[in-house]
Parts: sequence; C-alpha cells; structure tokens
Amino acid sequence: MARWTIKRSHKRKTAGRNWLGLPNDLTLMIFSRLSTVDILASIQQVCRQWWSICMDPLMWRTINMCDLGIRNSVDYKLEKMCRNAIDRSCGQLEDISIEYFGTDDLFKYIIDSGCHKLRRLRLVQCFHQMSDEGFCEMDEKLPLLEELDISLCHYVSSIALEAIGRSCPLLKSFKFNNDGSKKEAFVIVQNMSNLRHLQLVGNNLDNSSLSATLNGCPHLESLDLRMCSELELERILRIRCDEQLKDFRDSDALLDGFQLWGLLDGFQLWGLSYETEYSVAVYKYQCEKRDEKEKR
Amino acid sequence: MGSPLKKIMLCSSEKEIFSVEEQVMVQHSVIINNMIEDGSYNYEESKIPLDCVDSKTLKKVIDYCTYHTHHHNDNQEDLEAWDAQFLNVDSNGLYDLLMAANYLEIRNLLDLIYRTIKNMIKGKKIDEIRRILNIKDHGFTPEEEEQNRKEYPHFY
Repeated sequence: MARWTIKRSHKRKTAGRNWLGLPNDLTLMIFSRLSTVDILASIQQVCRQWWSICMDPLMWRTINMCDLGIRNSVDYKLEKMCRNAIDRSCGQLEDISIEYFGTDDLFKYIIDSGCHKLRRLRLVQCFHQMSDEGFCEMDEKLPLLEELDISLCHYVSSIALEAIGRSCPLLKSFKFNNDGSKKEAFVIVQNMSNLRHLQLVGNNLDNSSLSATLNGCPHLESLDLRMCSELELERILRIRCDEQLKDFRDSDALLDGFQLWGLLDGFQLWGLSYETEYSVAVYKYQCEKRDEKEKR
Repeated sequence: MGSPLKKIMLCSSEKEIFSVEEQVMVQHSVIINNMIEDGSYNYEESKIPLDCVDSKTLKKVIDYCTYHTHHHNDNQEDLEAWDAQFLNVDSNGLYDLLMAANYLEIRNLLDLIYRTIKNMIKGKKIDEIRRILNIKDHGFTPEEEEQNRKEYPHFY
C-alpha cells in the first residue's frame, strides 16, 4: 500500500499541470491584471481557449493603454490595437486610458462605438494630435462620464471644454493639465458646475478666476493648482480655499506624487518640451533598432 | 473568531491529518469559517476532508495562513519578502496552490497567486508563455497558427 502511494505521488510530480483545465473565472482573474497590450499582443494567441476568453466583451470593460513606455509605442500599432479592443467591448466599455497615440479620429471611433456606459476617459500626452474637433461631436454619446483627464493635449481649447460641459452632466473629476489660459478656467466653471475634483497644473489662472471657480463649483472638494505661476493668493482667498476645500494645493505646493510621465523634476520642461522629450526618445530608440539591424 | 487554543483537523487527499489552530484557518478561509460558524464541525470527531488538496500543498497553505495570522502587524516590506519566498515554486506547485486557495477561498493568497502568475507571463512572447505553463496543445489549426505567426512574427 505504501509503495503504491509513493509510486502514485511520484507520477503526479512528473506530470505537468494542465493550465487550460483552470476554471474560466480563475483565468479571467489573471487576465484582468494584465495590460490591454499584453492581452492583444500575446495572451490571446497562446491557445484557442484563451482566444475565446479574450473575445468576451466583459474582458474589455477597461482598456488601459497608458505607461507603455517609448519602446512599445514605437514597436506596436497601438491605435489599431486600441480600435480592436474597443470593437470587442461591444458597448461594455467603462474605463479607457490612452497615452501618446490619441487622435481626433480615434476619439470619434470611441464615442461612435456605442459605449454609453463609459465612466472614465483619459487622453494624455497626445500633444498636437487631438483638437476641439473631436470633442465637438460628443453630443450625448457619453452621458455617464464621471472622470475625464485631458493632459498635454495642446490643441484642446475652451471650445472643447464647452462641448464637454454640455455633453457630460455627471462629470465629477476633471484634469486639464495643459498650460492653458485663464479663459479656460472660466469656461470650466461655467460649464461644469458639478465638479468635485479639479486639477489645473500649470494653468495661467489668476486670483479672479480662482474666486470664480470657488463660486461656480460649490461642490468642489479638491483643487490642484500647482505650477500656476500667475496666482498670488492673498490672505482672504487662501482662508476661503482652506475652508471650502478638503484638499487644496496652491502654486508652490510640492510636485511630489505627481506621477505624470515620470518627469518629476521636469517642470522646467513643462509644455511643449515634453513633446520634444518624447520625440527625442523615439528617435533614439529608432536609431538603436536600425543599428542593431545593420549589425545583423 | 475561533478560540486561539482550539485545534481543527484537516485531511489531505492522501488521508494525512493536519492539526491547525482554529483561528488561523477561520481568519483566512471563508469555507472553514462558515463551517465553524454554522456548527457543522465537531471538535471531538470531525476531520475536514480536502480530497483535492495533496499533503505538500496543504502544508504550504497552512504555513501561509499561520504566518499571516501571527505576523499581520509586520511591515509591508517584510511581508512581501516572505510572500515572494513562499511562492518561489515551479509552475506545477503554483497551480496546486491556486486550486487549493480557490477551494478553501483564501482571498489574500488567491490575490498573491494571481499577481505572481501575471508577472510570470507579462511581456513574454507567445512561445515562452506556452513553455512556462506547459501548454502543448494550443488548439489552433496549423493554418491559423501560421497566419498568426505571419501577421505578428515578433510576438512569437
């Protein structure tokens, strides 16, 4: 009997476990921790079973294509991948984040995909590829949007902000870190009065636009105005900010925890130079690749 | 919450009996917690049969629950280092632990295993993932596989 047990356990040890026999819900829990690019570039092609799991629209409620790094942004056709992921979501999309490759066309593709359930949208570092045009066609296509981040998209102006305010009545959190003008701050206040959280790092707003913000957004809980150099808070205004807001960061507050693009010490690079920085990094990587190819 | 002195008996698929502090299992395993709470466990006679968990895996699961019960006040870094060492097992061992943690509903262990598997396959090429998880029969027809390889050669 003892011998039989030893033999049996020995056999079990040498046999590989069948990962494809894993219940689908466990496999899904693992996949849900991987990035959109990982799923599309490799995971789904590993085997037919994973392929069908990856066709489930519920897999695509969140599409995260941020923090991919320069290399991936060069190596992969990110926009094509993104459209593919949007198609698969079949209108179940709730949360989408795009970095570097956002364009007006892609944005139109998102809002025309029937994603009425979208609650969170992030379009960061799209530099000069996104403009007011896309936003002006939003109409009522994203009625449930609560969180929006448009950072370092330099051609997005107050025209887009008005359209966003009109189309997204539930908007609670807005990040618009774009070295924008004080006019934009006024437009935000006039059109997004339900905001709870507002971040305008590097904006040119002044004391009067800050007062207008406090008046126009009575529900505001947090306001982040770091690097807003036009701002010179006099005592009364500061007291008001501290009383009305749970979390207020003025122009001099430390940039710690500001994880935008990993360029923590880069506030002198603010604005256009981020794009230069990005293009230089892309160029360097392309040269590296070319050299390697030639060596071979 | 179980009393710290009480012990319960767990029985592995090889019929080996493990005696464990009740509170250790009650704190971590939803299933065992329910069993104790609804009174279906008899301290004099019961052994909880875990037919799909072998002795080696059960011992590891008990180690995990025991450590995390007694060290839950340790700093995060130390706990993470211990966890990493704990899950330094081959893919078969990881699979067995995953099935056991799922069966016993040990949520923090499940989360740890999911994260570990994610890190094993993240950013890897397709052939590499197949090798790591020992997937021999991918189920694609030769034509489909060839087409995928042609379309995305750098993913393989």
